[in-house]
Amino acid sequence: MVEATKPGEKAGRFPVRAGTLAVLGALGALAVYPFFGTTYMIGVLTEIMILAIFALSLGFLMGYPKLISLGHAAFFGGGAYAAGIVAVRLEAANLFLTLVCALVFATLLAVLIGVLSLRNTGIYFLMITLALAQLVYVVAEQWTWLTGGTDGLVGIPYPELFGFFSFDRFSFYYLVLLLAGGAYFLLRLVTRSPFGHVLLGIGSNERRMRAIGYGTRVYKLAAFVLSGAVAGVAGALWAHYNGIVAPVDVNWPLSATALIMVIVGGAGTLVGPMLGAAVVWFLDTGLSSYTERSTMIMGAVFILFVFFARGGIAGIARSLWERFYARTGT
Amino acid sequence: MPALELESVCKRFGALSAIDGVSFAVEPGERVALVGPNGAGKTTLFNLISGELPPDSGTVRLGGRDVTRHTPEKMAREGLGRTFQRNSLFMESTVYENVRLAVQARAGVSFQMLRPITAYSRLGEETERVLELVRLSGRAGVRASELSYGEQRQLELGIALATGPRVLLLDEPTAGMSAQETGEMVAMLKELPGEITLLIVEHDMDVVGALARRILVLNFGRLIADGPLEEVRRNEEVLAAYLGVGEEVRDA
Ligand SMILES: Nc1ncnc2c1ncn2[C@@H]1O[C@H](COP(=O)(O)OP(=O)(O)OP(=O)(O)O)[C@@H](O)[C@H]1O
Ligand SMILES: [Mg+2]
Repeated sequence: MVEATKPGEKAGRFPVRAGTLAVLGALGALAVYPFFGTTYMIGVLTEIMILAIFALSLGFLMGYPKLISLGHAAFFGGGAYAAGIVAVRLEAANLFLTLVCALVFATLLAVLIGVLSLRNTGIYFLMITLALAQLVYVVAEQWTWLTGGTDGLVGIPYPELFGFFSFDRFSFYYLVLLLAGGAYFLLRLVTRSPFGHVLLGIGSNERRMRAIGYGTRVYKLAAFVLSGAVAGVAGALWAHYNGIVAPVDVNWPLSATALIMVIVGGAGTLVGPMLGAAVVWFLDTGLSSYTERSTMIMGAVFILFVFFARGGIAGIARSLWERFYARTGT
Repeated sequence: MPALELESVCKRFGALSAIDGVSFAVEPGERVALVGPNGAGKTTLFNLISGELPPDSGTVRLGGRDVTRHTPEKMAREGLGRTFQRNSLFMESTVYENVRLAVQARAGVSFQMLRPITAYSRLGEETERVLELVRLSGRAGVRASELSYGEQRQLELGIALATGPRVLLLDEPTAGMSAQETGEMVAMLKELPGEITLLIVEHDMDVVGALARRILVLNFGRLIADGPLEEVRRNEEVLAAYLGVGEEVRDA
């Protein structure tokens, strides 16, 4: 049975085709939803999809080169501020301008933080990303004339396209859906490329990677920057969606939330973290309008996953699939 | 010009002198065995050559070039391959993926991000060639963690070979293998291209005899013998080292 696997195929791995089908199905469902759904739910889904892009970017880093960053909000919030500042201070809410500025700023920030933090590994890497991200937070809070300080930067409009078209709630939903799908398929391509296999090798056995000739740090930096850039784009969407960027968008609790999304959804896949974003949103923000204990419930769910389902939702789906596969005897 | 040359290489771990003024040279294509009792410093010596550890003093040359204190990745790119005493594989990947990753290391495509790896057919061809060398073609699709121990040892060799080394350091390639697996490993190593320079740590004297004519003996970090197998076998200091009285012999 195992020998029948074609060389190069991942024996017994998560069924690739099933995963892709699930994603396409979800994208299709999300594409038709606004025609039936309430305005409120369209807003909720927009918010979740933006957070899903953010979780995806961190999940890429945690699942492939196995870099655990606790400062990812710096790129998300950094992108949000870049887009917000362009839109409000320069009064230019052109979609391409805000997105590109967010992308460029988050990329530069990721280069800087990556170069400084990737000299270290493990817990030290994590602590340094956290410390540097908090530095970004302090800047966002203190540089009042630019960022609006503790009050945040308010009055960010939905983006527009060269005076021809202005996004509204409805069309913005589709923009976010497009970018979420795009980010997923982009990173999926990357993980299957030669570069992606290097990242997987680094996550699996960095010492051996070096012994066979890979200068691992530069690959880790490239992954870190790519991840930061994607997070920055998510941040720009966040700024447009909320109409405000505040220091909470660069603060460490948001980094921690992204980490929880990845772990609950399942690191090591790309779909997992995106699903995790949805689950964590419902447990946290969603439940908070029904009970004051939502944070406690989320904490409990997180602990359950850490202790009993290390692979997250994606891991559970995988083992169910494998059991099903074994029973049908293929 | 020697393929590999060490000159008064020293390494201390605190008070322990793990490698103490070791010098030797290996000619291109030569096959040399490195033996010595447990804890003699054989693995440490490999780590010093491959760049995993920096020597405290001394010089390492590869093909005449000074490579002392190069990083492991730089050494690999200079043509040095090594295997590890304890298997160091990519456990969650298949046999095929393990070898392909090593092939890819010198293919210059590792920053390609937008095409699937399967589009690079050169990688596949070379991978299959290496799999045949280490007799794992039939196990290509199996995850490394699911191989038998002996097969994992073969894969360990395959990964090192796939980088196309000119000098190959093998740290106990047959350790923990059954007699039959050992025989197969010896046969595989004998079939390796003649231009590859081999330095092999090995405890089994039959294996040493089958693979190398020259033998280096390390004891307490010092090279106590270097010469043809038959000669070294009669060397008194070597006999003493293996009887566990090396200390007294050295002090005498
Ligand atoms: N990183 C290290 N730090 C401290 N001591 C070390 C280190 N690596 C090795 N040693 C010590 O150096 C000595 C030589 O160890 P080494 O592993 O090189 O021996 P070896 O000849 O390979 O032995 P074996 O046959 O058991 O593999 C041992 O006493 C060991 O404990
Ligand atoms: Mg050893």
